[in-house]
Amino acid sequence: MNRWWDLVSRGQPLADELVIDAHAHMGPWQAFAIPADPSAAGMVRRMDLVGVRCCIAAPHYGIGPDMVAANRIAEDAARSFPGRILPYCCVSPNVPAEAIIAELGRMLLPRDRPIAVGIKIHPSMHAYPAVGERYRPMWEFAQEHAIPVLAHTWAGDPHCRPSAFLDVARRYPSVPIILGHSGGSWAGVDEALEAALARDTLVLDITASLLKQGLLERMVRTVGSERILFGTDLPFIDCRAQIGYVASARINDEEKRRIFGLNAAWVFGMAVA
Amino acid sequence: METLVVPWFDANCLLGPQAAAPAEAWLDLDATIEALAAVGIDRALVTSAVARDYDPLAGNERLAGELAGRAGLVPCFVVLPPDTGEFPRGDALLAYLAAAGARAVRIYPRLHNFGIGARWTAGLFGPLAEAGIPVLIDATQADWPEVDDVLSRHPALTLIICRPGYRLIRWAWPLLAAHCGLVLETSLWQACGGIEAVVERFGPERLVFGTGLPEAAPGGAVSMITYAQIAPEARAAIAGGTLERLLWDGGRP
Repeated sequence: MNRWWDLVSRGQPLADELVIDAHAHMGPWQAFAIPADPSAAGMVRRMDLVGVRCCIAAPHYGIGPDMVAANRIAEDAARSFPGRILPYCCVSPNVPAEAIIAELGRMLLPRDRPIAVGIKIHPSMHAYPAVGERYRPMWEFAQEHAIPVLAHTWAGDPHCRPSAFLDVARRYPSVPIILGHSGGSWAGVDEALEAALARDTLVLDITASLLKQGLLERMVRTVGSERILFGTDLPFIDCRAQIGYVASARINDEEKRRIFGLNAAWVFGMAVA
Repeated sequence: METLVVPWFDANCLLGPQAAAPAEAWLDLDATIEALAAVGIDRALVTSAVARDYDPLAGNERLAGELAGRAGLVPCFVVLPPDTGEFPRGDALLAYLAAAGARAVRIYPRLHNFGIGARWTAGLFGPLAEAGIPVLIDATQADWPEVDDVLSRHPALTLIICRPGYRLIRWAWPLLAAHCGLVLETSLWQACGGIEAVVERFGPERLVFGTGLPEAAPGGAVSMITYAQIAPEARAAIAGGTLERLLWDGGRP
Protein backbone atom coordinates (compact mmCIF):
# COMPACT_ATOMS: atom_id res chain seq x y z
CA MET A 1 0.00 0.00 0.00
CA ASN A 2 2.75 2.45 1.06
CA ARG A 3 5.90 2.48 3.13
CA TRP A 4 4.05 3.54 6.28
CA TRP A 5 1.63 0.66 6.03
CA ASP A 6 4.43 -1.71 5.12
CA LEU A 7 6.10 -0.90 8.45
CA VAL A 8 2.86 -1.00 10.42
CA SER A 9 1.83 -4.36 8.98
CA ARG A 10 5.18 -5.80 10.09
CA GLY A 11 4.95 -4.23 13.55
CA GLN A 12 7.93 -1.98 12.90
CA PRO A 13 8.21 1.61 14.18
CA LEU A 14 7.95 4.54 11.76
CA ALA A 15 11.50 5.37 12.74
CA ASP A 16 12.51 7.55 9.80
CA GLU A 17 9.36 9.67 9.80
CA LEU A 18 8.52 12.70 11.88
CA VAL A 19 5.61 11.57 14.03
CA ILE A 20 4.38 14.03 16.63
CA ASP A 21 1.54 13.15 18.97
CA ALA A 22 -0.08 16.52 19.56
CA HIS A 23 -2.70 15.22 22.00
CA ALA A 24 -1.31 13.09 24.81
CA HIS A 25 -1.94 12.88 28.54
CA MET A 26 -0.07 11.18 31.41
CA GLY A 27 -0.77 9.30 34.61
CA PRO A 28 -3.78 7.40 35.95
CA TRP A 29 -7.42 8.33 35.46
CA GLN A 30 -10.42 7.78 37.68
CA ALA A 31 -12.86 6.41 35.13
CA PHE A 32 -11.06 3.23 34.12
CA ALA A 33 -7.98 1.08 34.64
CA ILE A 34 -4.97 1.65 32.41
CA PRO A 35 -3.15 -1.70 32.14
CA ALA A 36 0.15 -0.26 30.85
CA ASP A 37 2.43 2.02 32.82
CA PRO A 38 0.83 5.46 32.32
CA SER A 39 3.87 7.37 33.55
CA ALA A 40 6.20 9.34 31.30
CA ALA A 41 8.61 6.39 31.15
CA GLY A 42 5.83 4.03 30.14
CA MET A 43 4.59 6.46 27.52
CA VAL A 44 8.04 6.77 25.95
CA ARG A 45 8.31 2.98 25.76
CA ARG A 46 4.97 2.88 23.90
CA MET A 47 6.03 5.72 21.62
CA ASP A 48 9.18 3.79 20.75
CA LEU A 49 7.14 0.75 19.72
CA VAL A 50 5.45 2.67 16.92
CA GLY A 51 7.94 5.43 16.19
CA VAL A 52 6.36 8.51 17.76
CA ARG A 53 9.25 10.94 18.05
CA CYS A 54 7.64 13.20 20.63
CA CYS A 55 4.34 13.87 22.28
CA ILE A 56 2.80 16.99 23.70
CA ALA A 57 1.26 16.00 26.98
CA ALA A 58 -1.34 17.33 29.40
CA PRO A 59 -1.30 15.02 32.45
CA HIS A 60 -4.72 13.74 33.52
CA TYR A 61 -4.37 15.67 36.78
CA GLY A 62 -4.78 18.81 34.71
CA ILE A 63 -8.00 17.84 32.97
CA GLY A 64 -9.20 16.86 36.45
CA PRO A 65 -8.76 18.57 39.79
CA ASP A 66 -5.27 20.13 39.90
CA MET A 67 -3.70 22.06 37.03
CA VAL A 68 -0.59 23.00 39.03
CA ALA A 69 0.15 19.38 39.98
CA ALA A 70 -0.31 18.42 36.34
CA ASN A 71 2.07 21.08 35.12
CA ARG A 72 4.77 20.02 37.60
CA ILE A 73 4.40 16.39 36.48
CA ALA A 74 4.73 17.45 32.85
CA GLU A 75 7.71 19.62 33.64
CA ASP A 76 9.47 16.72 35.37
CA ALA A 77 8.66 14.45 32.45
CA ALA A 78 10.08 16.92 29.96
CA ARG A 79 13.25 17.13 32.04
CA SER A 80 13.53 13.34 32.24
CA PHE A 81 12.81 12.79 28.55
CA PRO A 82 14.07 15.86 26.73
CA GLY A 83 12.67 16.21 23.26
CA ARG A 84 10.37 13.22 23.74
CA ILE A 85 7.74 14.74 26.04
CA LEU A 86 6.77 18.38 25.69
CA PRO A 87 4.32 19.87 28.18
CA TYR A 88 1.06 21.62 27.63
CA CYS A 89 0.28 24.14 30.34
CA CYS A 90 -3.01 22.87 31.75
CA VAL A 91 -5.46 25.60 32.68
CA SER A 92 -8.53 25.17 34.85
CA PRO A 93 -11.21 27.87 34.88
CA ASN A 94 -12.04 26.85 38.43
CA VAL A 95 -9.08 28.59 40.06
CA PRO A 96 -8.66 32.36 40.57
CA ALA A 97 -7.53 34.42 37.58
CA GLU A 98 -4.32 35.39 39.37
CA ALA A 99 -3.37 31.72 39.72
CA ILE A 100 -4.05 31.11 36.02
CA ILE A 101 -1.92 34.06 34.98
CA ALA A 102 0.90 33.06 37.33
CA GLU A 103 0.87 29.51 36.00
CA LEU A 104 0.82 30.64 32.38
CA GLY A 105 3.77 32.90 33.04
CA ARG A 106 5.71 30.19 34.82
CA MET A 107 5.15 27.59 32.10
CA LEU A 108 5.26 29.73 28.96
CA LEU A 109 7.57 32.70 29.68
CA PRO A 110 10.07 33.82 28.69
CA ARG A 111 9.08 33.00 25.16
CA ASP A 112 12.60 32.06 24.05
CA ARG A 113 12.89 29.25 26.62
CA PRO A 114 9.46 28.16 27.83
CA ILE A 115 8.73 24.96 29.73
CA ALA A 116 5.51 24.32 27.83
CA VAL A 117 4.78 24.60 24.12
CA GLY A 118 1.02 25.16 24.31
CA ILE A 119 -2.03 25.41 26.53
CA LYS A 120 -4.59 22.68 27.24
CA ILE A 121 -8.17 23.28 28.37
CA HIS A 122 -10.95 20.77 29.00
CA PRO A 123 -14.19 22.73 29.29
CA SER A 124 -16.22 19.53 29.55
CA MET A 125 -14.37 18.03 32.53
CA HIS A 126 -14.13 21.44 34.18
CA ALA A 127 -17.84 22.09 33.52
CA TYR A 128 -17.33 25.59 32.26
CA PRO A 129 -17.80 27.03 28.76
CA ALA A 130 -14.75 27.77 26.66
CA VAL A 131 -16.22 31.18 25.89
CA GLY A 132 -16.83 31.96 29.56
CA GLU A 133 -15.33 34.89 31.40
CA ARG A 134 -13.09 32.73 33.62
CA TYR A 135 -11.17 31.54 30.57
CA ARG A 136 -10.61 35.13 29.37
CA PRO A 137 -7.17 35.62 31.05
CA MET A 138 -5.96 32.46 29.33
CA TRP A 139 -7.24 33.50 25.89
CA GLU A 140 -5.74 36.99 26.30
CA PHE A 141 -2.38 35.53 27.31
CA ALA A 142 -2.45 33.14 24.34
CA GLN A 143 -3.37 36.00 22.03
CA GLU A 144 -0.59 38.25 23.34
CA HIS A 145 2.04 35.55 22.79
CA ALA A 146 0.48 33.64 19.85
CA ILE A 147 0.41 30.36 21.80
CA PRO A 148 -1.50 27.32 20.51
CA VAL A 149 -4.43 26.13 22.63
CA LEU A 150 -5.67 22.55 22.56
CA ALA A 151 -9.33 22.50 23.60
CA HIS A 152 -11.37 19.39 24.16
CA THR A 153 -14.40 19.58 21.85
CA TRP A 154 -17.44 17.33 21.53
CA ALA A 155 -20.64 17.57 19.55
CA GLY A 156 -23.58 18.67 21.63
CA ASP A 157 -21.50 19.66 24.65
CA PRO A 158 -22.67 23.17 25.53
CA HIS A 159 -19.26 23.94 27.05
CA CYS A 160 -17.16 23.01 24.05
CA ARG A 161 -19.02 22.12 20.89
CA PRO A 162 -16.80 22.90 17.88
CA SER A 163 -18.86 25.84 16.66
CA ALA A 164 -18.36 27.55 20.03
CA PHE A 165 -14.78 28.24 18.99
CA LEU A 166 -15.75 30.35 15.99
CA ASP A 167 -16.34 33.34 18.22
CA VAL A 168 -13.16 32.67 20.21
CA ALA A 169 -11.15 32.45 16.99
CA ARG A 170 -12.60 35.76 15.81
CA ARG A 171 -11.74 37.49 19.10
CA TYR A 172 -8.24 35.99 19.40
CA PRO A 173 -6.95 35.72 15.83
CA SER A 174 -3.31 35.07 16.79
CA VAL A 175 -4.16 31.87 18.64
CA PRO A 176 -4.02 28.56 16.76
CA ILE A 177 -6.95 26.69 18.35
CA ILE A 178 -6.75 22.92 18.09
CA LEU A 179 -10.22 21.40 18.17
CA GLY A 180 -9.46 18.32 20.25
CA HIS A 181 -11.16 15.20 18.83
CA SER A 182 -12.67 17.44 16.13
CA GLY A 183 -16.02 17.19 17.87
CA GLY A 184 -15.91 13.42 18.33
CA SER A 185 -18.97 12.04 16.54
CA TRP A 186 -19.66 12.32 12.82
CA ALA A 187 -21.97 15.25 13.58
CA GLY A 188 -19.18 16.80 15.62
CA VAL A 189 -16.67 16.32 12.84
CA ASP A 190 -18.97 18.01 10.35
CA GLU A 191 -19.42 20.89 12.79
CA ALA A 192 -15.64 21.12 13.26
CA LEU A 193 -15.09 21.09 9.51
CA GLU A 194 -17.60 23.90 9.02
CA ALA A 195 -15.87 25.92 11.73
CA ALA A 196 -12.43 25.25 10.25
CA LEU A 197 -13.63 26.38 6.84
CA ALA A 198 -14.86 29.62 8.39
CA ARG A 199 -11.72 30.43 10.46
CA ASP A 200 -8.27 29.43 9.29
CA THR A 201 -6.78 29.50 12.81
CA LEU A 202 -8.91 26.50 13.78
CA VAL A 203 -6.94 23.25 13.53
CA LEU A 204 -8.40 19.74 13.46
CA ASP A 205 -7.24 16.88 15.68
CA ILE A 206 -7.86 13.22 14.85
CA THR A 207 -7.52 11.90 18.42
CA ALA A 208 -10.34 9.42 19.09
CA SER A 209 -10.95 5.75 19.74
CA LEU A 210 -13.56 5.12 17.08
CA LEU A 211 -11.27 5.35 14.00
CA LYS A 212 -14.21 6.01 11.74
CA GLN A 213 -14.09 4.63 8.24
CA GLY A 214 -13.40 7.48 5.80
CA LEU A 215 -13.26 10.24 8.41
CA LEU A 216 -9.67 11.29 7.82
CA GLU A 217 -10.24 11.23 4.09
CA ARG A 218 -13.30 13.51 4.54
CA MET A 219 -11.23 15.91 6.64
CA VAL A 220 -8.50 16.12 4.01
CA ARG A 221 -11.02 16.53 1.21
CA THR A 222 -12.80 19.36 3.04
CA VAL A 223 -10.07 21.52 4.57
CA GLY A 224 -6.88 20.11 3.09
CA SER A 225 -4.18 18.22 4.95
CA GLU A 226 -2.35 21.28 6.31
CA ARG A 227 -4.58 21.83 9.35
CA ILE A 228 -4.95 18.28 10.63
CA LEU A 229 -2.86 17.05 13.58
CA PHE A 230 -1.99 13.51 14.61
CA GLY A 231 -2.93 12.69 18.21
CA THR A 232 -3.53 9.58 20.26
CA ASP A 233 -4.74 10.41 23.80
CA LEU A 234 -1.90 8.21 25.13
CA PRO A 235 -2.15 6.72 27.79
CA PHE A 236 -5.90 7.39 28.05
CA ILE A 237 -6.00 5.21 24.91
CA ASP A 238 -3.29 3.07 23.36
CA CYS A 239 -1.36 4.90 20.65
CA ARG A 240 -0.99 1.88 18.39
CA ALA A 241 -4.40 2.00 16.71
CA GLN A 242 -4.09 5.59 15.56
CA ILE A 243 -0.77 4.87 13.83
CA GLY A 244 -2.37 2.18 11.68
CA TYR A 245 -5.41 4.34 11.07
CA VAL A 246 -3.38 7.13 9.46
CA ALA A 247 -0.89 4.80 7.75
CA SER A 248 -3.72 2.96 5.99
CA ALA A 249 -5.80 6.03 5.11
CA ARG A 250 -6.56 6.65 1.44
CA ILE A 251 -4.64 9.90 1.20
CA ASN A 252 -1.35 10.54 -0.51
CA ASP A 253 2.13 10.30 1.00
CA GLU A 254 2.63 14.05 1.34
CA GLU A 255 -0.70 14.40 3.13
CA LYS A 256 0.29 11.62 5.54
CA ARG A 257 3.64 13.26 6.18
CA ARG A 258 1.97 16.54 7.08
CA ILE A 259 -0.61 14.93 9.35
CA PHE A 260 1.86 12.65 11.11
CA GLY A 261 4.21 15.46 12.08
CA LEU A 262 4.95 18.40 9.81
CA ASN A 263 1.74 20.23 10.70
CA ALA A 264 2.37 19.91 14.45
CA ALA A 265 5.94 21.10 13.99
CA TRP A 266 4.59 24.18 12.26
CA VAL A 267 1.79 24.87 14.78
CA PHE A 268 4.13 24.52 17.78
CA GLY A 269 7.11 26.21 16.15
CA MET A 270 9.41 23.19 16.32
CA ALA A 271 12.53 22.86 14.25
CA VAL A 272 12.24 19.88 11.89
CA ALA A 273 15.40 17.81 11.74
CA MET B 1 13.21 -10.18 14.18
CA GLU B 2 9.78 -11.76 13.94
CA THR B 3 8.33 -12.05 10.46
CA LEU B 4 4.65 -11.40 10.82
CA VAL B 5 2.69 -14.03 8.98
CA VAL B 6 -0.70 -13.32 10.41
CA PRO B 7 -3.79 -15.39 9.55
CA TRP B 8 -6.21 -12.48 9.64
CA PHE B 9 -9.85 -13.42 10.13
CA ASP B 10 -12.13 -10.47 10.89
CA ALA B 11 -14.79 -11.40 13.46
CA ASN B 12 -16.79 -8.21 13.12
CA CYS B 13 -17.69 -7.04 9.65
CA LEU B 14 -21.09 -5.65 8.73
CA LEU B 15 -22.40 -5.68 5.16
CA GLY B 16 -25.27 -3.94 3.43
CA PRO B 17 -27.27 -0.73 3.63
CA GLN B 18 -27.71 0.75 7.09
CA ALA B 19 -30.54 2.83 8.48
CA ALA B 20 -28.24 5.55 9.79
CA ALA B 21 -24.68 5.81 8.60
CA PRO B 22 -22.43 8.40 6.96
CA ALA B 23 -21.70 8.04 3.26
CA GLU B 24 -18.25 6.65 4.07
CA ALA B 25 -19.85 3.61 5.74
CA TRP B 26 -21.85 2.65 2.66
CA LEU B 27 -19.63 -0.13 1.38
CA ASP B 28 -21.01 -2.72 -1.00
CA LEU B 29 -19.58 -6.22 -1.10
CA ASP B 30 -16.77 -5.41 -3.51
CA ALA B 31 -15.81 -2.28 -1.57
CA THR B 32 -15.85 -4.25 1.67
CA ILE B 33 -13.57 -6.90 0.21
CA GLU B 34 -11.29 -4.19 -1.14
CA ALA B 35 -11.14 -2.32 2.20
CA LEU B 36 -10.18 -5.52 4.01
CA ALA B 37 -7.69 -6.61 1.35
CA ALA B 38 -5.96 -3.21 1.47
CA VAL B 39 -4.76 -4.04 4.98
CA GLY B 40 -4.11 -7.72 4.29
CA ILE B 41 -7.36 -9.32 5.45
CA ASP B 42 -8.94 -11.96 3.24
CA ARG B 43 -11.33 -13.68 5.64
CA ALA B 44 -14.25 -12.23 7.57
CA LEU B 45 -17.26 -13.27 9.59
CA VAL B 46 -19.95 -11.07 8.09
CA THR B 47 -23.25 -9.88 9.58
CA SER B 48 -26.06 -8.28 7.61
CA ALA B 49 -26.84 -4.64 8.38
CA VAL B 50 -30.29 -5.28 6.87
CA ALA B 51 -30.83 -8.01 9.45
CA ARG B 52 -29.89 -5.55 12.16
CA ASP B 53 -31.74 -2.50 10.89
CA TYR B 54 -34.76 -3.99 9.07
CA ASP B 55 -35.59 -7.67 9.52
CA PRO B 56 -33.35 -10.55 10.65
CA LEU B 57 -34.86 -13.14 8.30
CA ALA B 58 -34.78 -10.90 5.25
CA GLY B 59 -31.29 -9.65 6.05
CA ASN B 60 -29.89 -13.12 6.64
CA GLU B 61 -31.32 -14.36 3.36
CA ARG B 62 -29.89 -11.39 1.49
CA LEU B 63 -26.50 -11.90 3.13
CA ALA B 64 -26.38 -15.61 2.27
CA GLY B 65 -27.12 -14.76 -1.33
CA GLU B 66 -24.42 -12.10 -1.50
CA LEU B 67 -21.77 -14.26 0.11
CA ALA B 68 -22.50 -17.37 -1.92
CA GLY B 69 -19.35 -18.39 -3.76
CA ARG B 70 -17.23 -15.75 -2.02
CA ALA B 71 -14.37 -17.67 -0.49
CA GLY B 72 -13.26 -16.34 2.86
CA LEU B 73 -16.51 -14.57 3.76
CA VAL B 74 -18.57 -16.48 6.31
CA PRO B 75 -22.16 -15.59 7.22
CA CYS B 76 -23.04 -14.70 10.80
CA PHE B 77 -26.82 -14.75 11.10
CA VAL B 78 -28.82 -12.39 13.26
CA VAL B 79 -31.30 -14.36 15.35
CA LEU B 80 -34.26 -13.76 17.67
CA PRO B 81 -35.70 -15.81 20.54
CA PRO B 82 -38.25 -18.35 19.25
CA ASP B 83 -41.16 -17.41 21.54
CA THR B 84 -43.00 -15.16 19.11
CA GLY B 85 -42.80 -17.64 16.27
CA GLU B 86 -40.69 -15.33 14.13
CA PHE B 87 -37.69 -17.63 14.31
CA PRO B 88 -37.33 -21.42 14.31
CA ARG B 89 -36.65 -23.22 17.57
CA GLY B 90 -34.11 -25.87 18.59
CA ASP B 91 -33.13 -28.28 15.81
CA ALA B 92 -35.04 -26.22 13.27
CA LEU B 93 -32.87 -23.23 14.14
CA LEU B 94 -29.72 -25.28 13.65
CA ALA B 95 -31.02 -26.54 10.31
CA TYR B 96 -31.80 -22.98 9.25
CA LEU B 97 -28.26 -21.89 10.06
CA ALA B 98 -26.61 -24.94 8.53
CA ALA B 99 -28.53 -24.62 5.29
CA ALA B 100 -27.06 -21.18 4.69
CA GLY B 101 -23.55 -21.96 5.93
CA ALA B 102 -23.86 -19.65 8.94
CA ARG B 103 -21.18 -20.51 11.47
CA ALA B 104 -22.06 -18.04 14.23
CA VAL B 105 -25.03 -15.91 15.26
CA ARG B 106 -25.46 -12.38 16.45
CA ILE B 107 -28.11 -10.80 18.64
CA TYR B 108 -29.23 -7.19 19.12
CA PRO B 109 -31.45 -7.48 22.20
CA ARG B 110 -31.78 -3.76 22.89
CA LEU B 111 -32.42 -2.80 19.30
CA HIS B 112 -34.77 -5.73 18.72
CA ASN B 113 -36.50 -5.36 22.08
CA PHE B 114 -36.00 -8.54 24.04
CA GLY B 115 -34.12 -9.37 27.21
CA ILE B 116 -31.15 -11.68 27.46
CA GLY B 117 -32.35 -13.07 30.78
CA ALA B 118 -33.63 -16.64 31.07
CA ARG B 119 -37.25 -15.68 30.47
CA TRP B 120 -36.45 -14.56 26.94
CA THR B 121 -33.43 -16.50 25.82
CA ALA B 122 -33.49 -19.94 27.46
CA GLY B 123 -34.91 -21.37 24.24
CA LEU B 124 -32.23 -19.67 22.21
CA PHE B 125 -28.97 -19.90 24.18
CA GLY B 126 -29.59 -23.49 25.29
CA PRO B 127 -29.54 -25.02 21.79
CA LEU B 128 -26.76 -22.69 20.65
CA ALA B 129 -24.56 -23.64 23.61
CA GLU B 130 -25.26 -27.32 23.12
CA ALA B 131 -24.39 -27.16 19.44
CA GLY B 132 -21.28 -25.06 20.03
CA ILE B 133 -22.45 -22.06 18.04
CA PRO B 134 -20.80 -18.82 19.16
CA VAL B 135 -22.99 -15.80 19.84
CA LEU B 136 -21.83 -12.28 19.04
CA ILE B 137 -23.30 -9.27 20.80
CA ASP B 138 -22.30 -5.60 20.71
CA ALA B 139 -21.12 -4.21 24.04
CA THR B 140 -23.85 -1.58 23.76
CA GLN B 141 -26.58 -4.22 23.52
CA ALA B 142 -26.36 -5.62 27.06
CA ASP B 143 -25.22 -4.72 30.56
CA TRP B 144 -22.35 -6.61 32.14
CA PRO B 145 -24.55 -8.07 34.92
CA GLU B 146 -26.77 -9.48 32.14
CA VAL B 147 -23.71 -11.00 30.47
CA ASP B 148 -22.69 -12.47 33.82
CA ASP B 149 -26.16 -14.00 34.22
CA VAL B 150 -26.21 -15.52 30.72
CA LEU B 151 -22.81 -17.14 31.07
CA SER B 152 -23.63 -18.40 34.55
CA ARG B 153 -26.73 -20.13 33.16
CA HIS B 154 -24.96 -21.39 30.01
CA PRO B 155 -21.34 -22.18 30.93
CA ALA B 156 -20.78 -23.94 27.60
CA LEU B 157 -21.82 -20.88 25.59
CA THR B 158 -19.23 -18.83 23.71
CA LEU B 159 -20.26 -15.17 23.92
CA ILE B 160 -18.17 -12.74 21.87
CA ILE B 161 -18.54 -9.13 22.98
CA CYS B 162 -18.08 -6.89 19.95
CA ARG B 163 -16.51 -3.44 20.25
CA PRO B 164 -15.88 -3.32 23.98
CA GLY B 165 -14.25 0.04 24.66
CA TYR B 166 -11.19 0.95 26.67
CA ARG B 167 -13.29 2.14 29.58
CA LEU B 168 -14.78 -1.28 30.31
CA ILE B 169 -11.87 -3.05 31.99
CA ARG B 170 -13.26 -2.90 35.52
CA TRP B 171 -16.48 -4.48 34.27
CA ALA B 172 -14.80 -7.09 32.08
CA TRP B 173 -12.00 -8.40 34.29
CA PRO B 174 -14.09 -10.29 36.86
CA LEU B 175 -16.26 -11.79 34.13
CA LEU B 176 -13.27 -12.93 32.08
CA ALA B 177 -12.01 -14.61 35.23
CA ALA B 178 -15.36 -16.22 35.96
CA HIS B 179 -16.49 -17.36 32.50
CA CYS B 180 -14.20 -19.13 30.07
CA GLY B 181 -16.81 -18.67 27.34
CA LEU B 182 -16.47 -14.87 27.40
CA VAL B 183 -14.41 -13.52 24.49
CA LEU B 184 -13.66 -9.91 23.53
CA GLU B 185 -13.51 -8.70 19.94
CA THR B 186 -10.61 -6.26 19.57
CA SER B 187 -11.68 -3.48 17.17
CA LEU B 188 -12.43 -1.02 19.97
CA TRP B 189 -10.29 -2.64 22.66
CA GLN B 190 -7.81 0.21 22.80
CA ALA B 191 -7.04 0.30 26.50
CA CYS B 192 -3.36 1.20 26.75
CA GLY B 193 -1.65 -2.18 26.97
CA GLY B 194 -5.05 -3.86 26.90
CA ILE B 195 -4.12 -6.60 24.43
CA GLU B 196 -1.08 -7.66 26.46
CA ALA B 197 -3.04 -7.47 29.71
CA VAL B 198 -5.73 -9.89 28.52
CA VAL B 199 -3.16 -12.26 27.05
CA GLU B 200 -1.07 -12.31 30.22
CA ARG B 201 -3.96 -12.62 32.62
CA PHE B 202 -6.54 -14.70 30.77
CA GLY B 203 -4.79 -16.08 27.68
CA PRO B 204 -4.84 -15.13 23.99
CA GLU B 205 -7.89 -17.29 23.37
CA ARG B 206 -10.04 -14.65 25.09
CA LEU B 207 -9.50 -12.14 22.25
CA VAL B 208 -10.58 -12.34 18.63
CA PHE B 209 -9.50 -9.82 16.06
CA GLY B 210 -12.22 -7.69 14.46
CA THR B 211 -12.31 -4.56 12.36
CA GLY B 212 -15.73 -3.05 13.04
CA LEU B 213 -15.97 -2.28 9.32
CA PRO B 214 -17.72 -0.25 7.98
CA GLU B 215 -18.25 1.83 11.12
CA ALA B 216 -14.50 1.75 11.74
CA ALA B 217 -11.54 1.72 9.38
CA PRO B 218 -9.66 -1.59 9.56
CA GLY B 219 -6.09 -0.25 9.63
CA GLY B 220 -6.15 0.73 13.29
CA ALA B 221 -7.55 -2.63 14.33
CA VAL B 222 -4.71 -4.35 12.48
CA SER B 223 -1.97 -2.19 13.97
CA MET B 224 -3.16 -2.88 17.52
CA ILE B 225 -2.31 -6.53 16.84
CA THR B 226 0.86 -6.13 14.76
CA TYR B 227 2.43 -3.91 17.45
CA ALA B 228 1.24 -6.02 20.39
CA GLN B 229 4.09 -7.24 22.57
CA ILE B 230 2.99 -10.86 22.62
CA ALA B 231 4.34 -14.18 21.39
CA PRO B 232 3.88 -15.07 17.70
CA GLU B 233 1.54 -17.91 18.67
CA ALA B 234 -0.63 -15.54 20.69
CA ARG B 235 -0.72 -13.05 17.81
CA ALA B 236 -1.78 -15.76 15.38
CA ALA B 237 -4.47 -16.96 17.76
CA ILE B 238 -5.94 -13.49 18.21
CA ALA B 239 -5.68 -12.59 14.53
CA GLY B 240 -7.65 -15.58 13.35
CA GLY B 241 -6.79 -18.91 14.90
CA THR B 242 -9.17 -18.66 17.82
CA LEU B 243 -12.09 -17.48 15.71
CA GLU B 244 -11.53 -20.32 13.26
CA ARG B 245 -11.58 -22.77 16.16
CA LEU B 246 -14.71 -21.27 17.72
CA LEU B 247 -16.88 -21.22 14.61
CA TRP B 248 -19.55 -23.87 14.25
CA ASP B 249 -18.51 -26.60 11.87
CA GLY B 250 -22.12 -27.70 11.29
CA GLY B 251 -22.55 -24.59 9.17
CA ARG B 252 -20.13 -25.75 6.56
CA PRO B 253 -21.82 -26.46 3.24
